[in-house]
Amino acid sequence: MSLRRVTSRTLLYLVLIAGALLTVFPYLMVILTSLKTAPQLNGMSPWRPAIPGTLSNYTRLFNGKIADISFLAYLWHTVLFTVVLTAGQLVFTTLAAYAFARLRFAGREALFWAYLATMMVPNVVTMIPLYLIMRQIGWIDTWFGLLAPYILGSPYGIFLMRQFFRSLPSDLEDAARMDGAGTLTILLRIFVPLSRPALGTLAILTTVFAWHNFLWPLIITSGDSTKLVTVGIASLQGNLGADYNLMMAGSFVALVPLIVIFLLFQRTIVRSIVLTGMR
Amino acid sequence: MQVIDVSASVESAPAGRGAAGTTGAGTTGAGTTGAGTTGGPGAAPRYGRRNRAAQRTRATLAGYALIGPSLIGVVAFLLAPVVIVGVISLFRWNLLSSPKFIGLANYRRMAHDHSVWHSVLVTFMYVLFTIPVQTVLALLLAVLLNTRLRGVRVLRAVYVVPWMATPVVMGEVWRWIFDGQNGALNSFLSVFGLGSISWLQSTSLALPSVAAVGIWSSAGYTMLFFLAGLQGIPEHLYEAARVDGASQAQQFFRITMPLLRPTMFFVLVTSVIGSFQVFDTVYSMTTPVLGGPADATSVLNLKIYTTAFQLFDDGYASAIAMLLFGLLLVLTVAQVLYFRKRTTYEQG
Amino acid sequence: MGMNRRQLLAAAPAAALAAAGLAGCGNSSGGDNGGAVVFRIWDEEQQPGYQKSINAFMAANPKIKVRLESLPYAQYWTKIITESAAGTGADVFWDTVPYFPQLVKQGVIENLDPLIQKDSYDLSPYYPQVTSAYTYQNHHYGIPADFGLASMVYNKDMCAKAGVTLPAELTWAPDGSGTLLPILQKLTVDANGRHPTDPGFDPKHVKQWGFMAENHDQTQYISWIPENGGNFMTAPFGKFAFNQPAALAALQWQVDLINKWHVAPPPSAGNAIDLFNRGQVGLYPAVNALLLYVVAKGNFTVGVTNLPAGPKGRVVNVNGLSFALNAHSKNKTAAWELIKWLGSPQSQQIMSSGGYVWPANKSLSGGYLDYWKNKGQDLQPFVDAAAGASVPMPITPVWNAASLTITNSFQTMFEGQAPVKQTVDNLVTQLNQLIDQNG
Repeated sequence: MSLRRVTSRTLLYLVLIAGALLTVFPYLMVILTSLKTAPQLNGMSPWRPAIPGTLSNYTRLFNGKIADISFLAYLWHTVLFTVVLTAGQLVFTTLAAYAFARLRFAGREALFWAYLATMMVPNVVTMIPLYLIMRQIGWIDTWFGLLAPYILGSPYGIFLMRQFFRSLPSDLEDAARMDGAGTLTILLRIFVPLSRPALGTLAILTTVFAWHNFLWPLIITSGDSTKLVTVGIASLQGNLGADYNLMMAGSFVALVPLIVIFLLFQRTIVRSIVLTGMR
Repeated sequence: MQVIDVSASVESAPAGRGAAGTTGAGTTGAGTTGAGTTGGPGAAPRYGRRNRAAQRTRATLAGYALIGPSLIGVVAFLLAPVVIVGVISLFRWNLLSSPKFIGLANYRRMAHDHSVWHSVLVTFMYVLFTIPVQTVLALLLAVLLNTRLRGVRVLRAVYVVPWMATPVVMGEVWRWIFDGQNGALNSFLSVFGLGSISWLQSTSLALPSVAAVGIWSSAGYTMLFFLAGLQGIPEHLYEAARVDGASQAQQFFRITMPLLRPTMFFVLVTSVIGSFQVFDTVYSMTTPVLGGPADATSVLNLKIYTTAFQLFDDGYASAIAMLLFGLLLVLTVAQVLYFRKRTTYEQG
Repeated sequence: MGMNRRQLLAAAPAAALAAAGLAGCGNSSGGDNGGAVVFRIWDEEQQPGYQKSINAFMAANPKIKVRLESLPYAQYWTKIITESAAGTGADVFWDTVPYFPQLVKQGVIENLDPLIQKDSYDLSPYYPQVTSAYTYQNHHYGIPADFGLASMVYNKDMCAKAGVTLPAELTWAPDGSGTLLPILQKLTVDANGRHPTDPGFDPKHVKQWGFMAENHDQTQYISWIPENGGNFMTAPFGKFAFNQPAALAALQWQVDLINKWHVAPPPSAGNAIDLFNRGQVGLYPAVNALLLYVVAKGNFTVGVTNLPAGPKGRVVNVNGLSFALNAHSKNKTAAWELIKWLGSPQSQQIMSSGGYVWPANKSLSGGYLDYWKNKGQDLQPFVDAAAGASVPMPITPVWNAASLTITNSFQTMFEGQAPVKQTVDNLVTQLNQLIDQNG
């Protein structure tokens, strides 16, 4: 038994680590490239490390020598955008998802399908009408215009949370209702604590989505004062050539905060105590 | 409208069953039995039939109060543009001058446009390449990483790195990997005496190569949903099964899979929608011949993009977008029906 | 416009469009920007240079505030077109020859002639090819910004190792005669160290090619065709004509370099610039702006030489960006002041001496040439080419659509998988139909 357990454990580790290596291999090339000079990149295979490497790409990224503005400023805009957007999404998505999952009201299914439908038309075409709408409101080149389409909750997130809320047992909810608890109390006191794994997933999802959001910020805002990291990195790819070394350094700098956030939020993706204690 | 009516009962089915299963095992009777008859989980509490009308009004008010903010956002900034795209599809519009109403001419033109139907085919192929592999892989990873192994958190983070990486940059790296001359993949294959395959320049291999990158970037991400879903399954169900002498496989198919159904439903619906709209990967991996070679990777979304922004034919691009919309609607409804049917079958 | 608008409103679903502001273009919304002007480019490398120029402008014109925006190239036109659809956008922006015809025909950019006449603005200092490229129905729609033309960069180390000295004049002809081909054959080496002229040469496993016969208009077939006496188009805003015998022979020559002589890689071998930078290609026709991305990027010394001359001599594509004035601009007076400044010798001198661009002002290229001289590059071949015969990029409203189709079909043709005549005949028929439909 014990021997079998050890073997299966070892095997599991081996499989998982092999898969992990395969998964990060392309990213390894990003890191290696960010530590090379251009001649080093062109002089060897991209998966071989440069010895000695160079940190010059990272210093170039932060000393404001490219485009007269430091990468730090872009990072700061992205952080601001991400924090505001994630906060808004978590709140409004949860509220809407709870209603769609647990309350019965006229027009619920029709509305839900309308929400789903918005995901089925690609944004390369919806972008133009959306821009026209923003122009009518006068929100072009404003933080409102930048955030408005996402901050009030996304159909994607609502769908995710709705599915999760639906799978929760309703006896706790019923009991609370018997005790005279209101809808909001039930949501905050019972559903939210029970939904930590789903909320954690939603938080990770929204953060990464906001962090990588590219096309809409680029279209609706202008100038360096709102430029996001993704746009900054894409700008390094010119019409004729690209500064791969710098691009990859930028990409790595943009990834690190996401990994930290992922490790933080994934603590919530564990079985909720209430649920397990409920035998 | 019928579609919507069908779904109303449909969608509650898997969730309702899941909930019943969850409680049925642990508590006695009192669970969600009501859900089955009233047609939805979390239906109005069973007490007080006298005030039903008042309660319904109150529920409707509460419902709209809760979805209110998202309703404003979705209607004004997501739904309205979709409706406008539908309207634009009835116009001839080059984006720069005034649009001209031409009725269904764009749709008639589309019906005879081989390149559009070729794109439909390419897109279907892409979805067929990606979805099954990606979903199975994600589920497998989730189950394997849902243990209390040491270092499991780091491993999870590693598996989602592809999704967190900047897409523009990864497209470049994948081109280096698939490069026919100096690529990592061919260097690796040459160890086995293979090699010198032009992955991205071959009309038969380009699409599978792009699909492989699609799987790479989404598998870990999809895993997250299954991971969250797995955490929602009460541990005591497994304990009870183990006491009954159920094998690991039996536990997986009898407990895990049925209770993951709401998650599976979400994952399939959203990843099919996502796969049908694939753009970034194809765009960054096939420059300068977008959708090449010889249109082998010309997926619908790329076709829409080039039609709108390089051919300046937004009316036609919108019509193609509506075709994509129609396809996705049909597929989503089909999935809803499938999930309902499966559930009914197992229950009956 | 009014007419169209009425038609639009007559159609029932148009209400939604109108609500979204689609019908009413531009001039409805007033609002004075108080002398604020947005100037948009796509090049991060040039941004510091233009910022310096703009700072000088703002110091001289304290009432005008200029904001410089640099966008990623891949999304530059997507944004400009989306904004134009909504009747907004940057006041002044970089315009290119491929997009110019659409913009001018749809009224997105302003006719500058009234302003040019009012201020007696002198257009004679600019390279005439650039000025004329932005002319439509005898009116000027852009002030020239910079100048770009093709010559050839080459791998000096590779040539030295192969014992090749490039003659002052490389020549080619469709039948393979001339001084170019023998040199390319010397430079090309397969995995076993054999040259294409050696028995047993293996064209499937070439390690190093003499030439880069890229699937690229500007540096390749746009030149090959006139150098053999053919035309790509009949005239600006005319028809495609590259199916004529002289043009066909020139295209066949480019295909032969790859598939018959085996001295150039097929498109499937990879990106041209990457292959060159890795030292796998000897001679590489390139525009001057590419220098930034090849000099000191690989482990070898880069040299510059003239493009090979064909039976009709050397014909080089010249090109250039222009500063366009957005017709939707709410601040045209200030925008015009900025354009005048950007076209002025002072501003173009800033851009030239910083090495950012070869300026459109003919007399100011010295700074740019000195900049590269300091980097060890003698750009005399480019200077020679600028003085010689030239050919413009194809100017037609369907160019964006056409170039996409051409690149796609040519990829297969250069790969050696489709015959030249058939490919080209199909293309020309198809593209001229496109012109008839949209012209």
